[in-house]
Amino acid sequence: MKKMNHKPVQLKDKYKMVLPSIAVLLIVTLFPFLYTLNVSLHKVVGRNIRTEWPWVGLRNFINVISDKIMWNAFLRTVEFIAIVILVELVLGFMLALIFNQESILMRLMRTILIIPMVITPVVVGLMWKALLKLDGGLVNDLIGFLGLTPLPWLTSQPIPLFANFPIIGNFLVQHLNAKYSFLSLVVIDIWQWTPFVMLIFLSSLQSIPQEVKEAAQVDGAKYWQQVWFIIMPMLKPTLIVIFLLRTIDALKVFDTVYALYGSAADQRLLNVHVMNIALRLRNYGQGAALSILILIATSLISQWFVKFVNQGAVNE
Amino acid sequence: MNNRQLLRFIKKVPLFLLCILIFFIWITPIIWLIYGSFQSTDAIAQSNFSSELTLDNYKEVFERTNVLDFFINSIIVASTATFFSALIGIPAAYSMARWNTGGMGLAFWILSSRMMPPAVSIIPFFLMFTKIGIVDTVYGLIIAHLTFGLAFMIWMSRVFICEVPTEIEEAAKIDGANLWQTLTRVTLPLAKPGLIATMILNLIFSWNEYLFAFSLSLTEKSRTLPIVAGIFVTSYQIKWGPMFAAAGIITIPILILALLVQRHIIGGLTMGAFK
Amino acid sequence: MKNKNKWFSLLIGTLILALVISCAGQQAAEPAAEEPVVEEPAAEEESAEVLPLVKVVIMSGPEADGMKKVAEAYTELTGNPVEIVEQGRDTYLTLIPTQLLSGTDAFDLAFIQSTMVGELAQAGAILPLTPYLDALTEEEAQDVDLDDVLVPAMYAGEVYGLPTDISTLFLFYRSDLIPEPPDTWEETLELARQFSQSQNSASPTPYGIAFDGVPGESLPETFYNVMWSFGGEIVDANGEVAVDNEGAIAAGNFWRTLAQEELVPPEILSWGFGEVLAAIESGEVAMAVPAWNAAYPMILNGSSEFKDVIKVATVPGVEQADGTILATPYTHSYFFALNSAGKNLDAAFKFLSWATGKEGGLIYAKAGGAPSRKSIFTSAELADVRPEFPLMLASLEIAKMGPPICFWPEHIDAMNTALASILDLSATPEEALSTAAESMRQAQAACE
Repeated sequence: MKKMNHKPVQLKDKYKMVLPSIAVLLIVTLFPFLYTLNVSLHKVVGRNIRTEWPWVGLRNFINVISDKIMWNAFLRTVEFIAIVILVELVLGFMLALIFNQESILMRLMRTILIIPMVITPVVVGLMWKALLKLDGGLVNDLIGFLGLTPLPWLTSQPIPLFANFPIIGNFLVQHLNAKYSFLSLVVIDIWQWTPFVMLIFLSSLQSIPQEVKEAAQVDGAKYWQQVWFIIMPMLKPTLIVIFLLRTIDALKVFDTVYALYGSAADQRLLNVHVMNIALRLRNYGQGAALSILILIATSLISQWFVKFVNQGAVNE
Repeated sequence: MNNRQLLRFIKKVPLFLLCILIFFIWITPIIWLIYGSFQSTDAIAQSNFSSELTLDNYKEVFERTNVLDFFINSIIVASTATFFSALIGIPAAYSMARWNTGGMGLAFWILSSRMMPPAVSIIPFFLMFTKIGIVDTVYGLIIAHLTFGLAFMIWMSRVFICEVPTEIEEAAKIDGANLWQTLTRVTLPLAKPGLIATMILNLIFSWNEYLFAFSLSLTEKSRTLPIVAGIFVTSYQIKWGPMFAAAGIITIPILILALLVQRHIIGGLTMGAFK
Repeated sequence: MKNKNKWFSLLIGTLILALVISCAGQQAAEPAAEEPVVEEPAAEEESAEVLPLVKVVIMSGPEADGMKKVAEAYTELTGNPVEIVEQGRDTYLTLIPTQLLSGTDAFDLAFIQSTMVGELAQAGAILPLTPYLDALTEEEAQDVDLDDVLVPAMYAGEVYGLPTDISTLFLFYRSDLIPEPPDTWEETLELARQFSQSQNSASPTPYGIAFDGVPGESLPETFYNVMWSFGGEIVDANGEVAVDNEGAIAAGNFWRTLAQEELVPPEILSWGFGEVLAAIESGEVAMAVPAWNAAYPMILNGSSEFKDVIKVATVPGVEQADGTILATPYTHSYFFALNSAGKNLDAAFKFLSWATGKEGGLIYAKAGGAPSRKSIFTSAELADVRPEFPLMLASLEIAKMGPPICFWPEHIDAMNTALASILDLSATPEEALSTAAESMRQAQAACE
């Protein structure tokens, strides 16, 4: 250590500085976790919320695991996150490459593209609800204008492209959500977050030193070769970070789904399902059990991510 | 114009068209939303905008709902949560940045509290707050917002503080400054752009937050603004006009705020993205 | 040494924070500092120390609009200020039970649905009205007249709410095209074929029939009008789930036929109340059945070119072995209940009993509501304004309510899935209804 005479002061101070945060974090994470655990082991419903909570052991957990709707929502959520992140990364990267130039137009575009990220998600949901209406919706009006048949965006009708797939068509529709309602959700999320991904890629593109690009050009590399062999590897840490950020946020999606479909059982994502159990069914015990399971799952994912990110950092 | 200039100009055309396409995809819906809020419900339902603008929708929102109360609640909750997160988060971030306090364990805890879907907190918060009696109050909401706000604040601030070179702090210490003076006079001003960007982002996240507002702030005593848009889904139909107006009221302050500080937001978000 | 310090300060810090939070809890028990905006345009009473403000929550829409008129009249009559707070419908029905369970004191009267009464009463979130009813004067009791009320909200033998609205479903039909309304579903099917262009290219209307098809609270309730008349049950006499019995499947087949033969529009799964109303008003469909009674006054007061020829009748039924026709319209009611955590309960009860009483009910009926009172349905005063009231009474006499099951929301979800797959032809009624029955049995086991 450099300043020996300051050492004792330093050590005590550093703990003082984190203490309030740790205390608050305890209150909002650890304490609720323990409370939830307690609730999940009892029968707690609307009727007895103010009176006795009988002990039921693991019964709530068993009910949760045998709830088909929960698994459907879980699968839908995983599928949603996978598709959305993939498309956003690809699209965002491509757009970043295109926009990687200095000009007034580019700066204007970059400013404008913040807007979709900061709009209230609930407003985004309601806005698209109006835009995607079957008759009178702007999107379908446009499609009609171009001479194509309007699409039933917000209904659970199967998407013909997938439904007509040989052999697995039916499976795609029934179990992998190849319906318009799911498509709408995916499209809306992509709409909202691709600008974000693009902006992040853009700024890390801009931090690639000019010399590297020029050296590649001098060596005779064509544009696509430059991208593939030079730019993309340099962007790997950014890729990892965006992946992390978007996964975290996509796991939390609630507002748009609820605004579009309410708590319709066939369109639920996991968060809507938890809310449904908590508010409509008012089965707090079961909701608590589900919450605990989700918490465990996200903890495992976080652990994996942290390891992954650290590995990535170490390898740089 | 010679050939080379002509060629460059032509190369720019597809780019320009792309910009127009992007503008169309991303900005037109929002303009449509705002323009539509001045149209009647029927006009929106049939996508038949007229050039007459009406303020009826806004009038209906103000008459039928306690929009002002919600607005005030939103301001109270968002600013208090952000302020409090900054107050205790920034020192924590400093401590973690400089001395790696808590090491991997603490960092992981903060990350996972940010990863946690808020839905898992609504049941414990609802039951706990009901027992204590703060369930339908702004205090309850503020505490709930701290789950994501504090972790975000600490995580981002840590990055920006790391960017401040330690040599400058050493120099201050040689000049006799103690820890707190170093922090406030030297480090913070240097990290200010990033920290302010983070606080503003935090403010926006709290403002836009819907799930906790929906589950925990049950009546207009503590209701925040995003809920107001749902009021116009009535028994029999969706009243698009007032709903758009409500959406406008919710969105416009954020848009203004974001555009005013957009330079910081891009910088803050992207700088933070690398650690 | 340092470790002990660390843990000690951690502990102190947590305790201090917990203390701060619970103190905040104490303060929060008092109302928030913002002044509530009093909405109703009636004269505001400044003498609030004598007459306390009664706060009422209700869902937005015609109910809220009608109640505001009732509140205005009440304040003029008694000088007691009443504030009607609207909340959006979809979120309202989801949130009001949670609001009541949480013990918020933000309102005194809550507008609740029949299916919620048992849970809320058992949890102690709403108060039994018996003590208040017993304290009524002769005159007041006459106005409340429990015998006149069609369906009070009861739990464990006590009255917990007085009804504000009762709803049921009708057959809406174009009397210029259909002189005699059908009595049975079979006749309805024939008429639907006659008036659908898919079966009869000369039909004046594109589709013969429409109903609420959008998955939600309404879709299963609409289906029950059909299902019960065929002999299906949600739960049978022994309390066993029975939506997969023969009668229910027959009803499912009826709907499937309508969809298969394109007698209903293909977008029916996204048609809610508004769309069905618009369809019959514009002549897109010849019949709307089953459709909510509330549409009728809206048609009469609307601007449809067919408004004089659109008539209503009881929903059709199924002919029984003895020649009679079994028709089973679905009905549910909305009530006002007292929030046990409310602040001004005596004044609130006075408003409750008046608003749901004969006087208040009359005003509400004139404003478009359908109060649950025999006297109002037979009132001569309303015969012109609400010509469908005699039909309401007739339908209500044979109507059925949903059973008080503990798994109501789960069963709605299960039925929605089943009915949607029947209507979009992706599953047969047998498959769809047996899946639904399975989920319902699971839910039943979990909550009993």
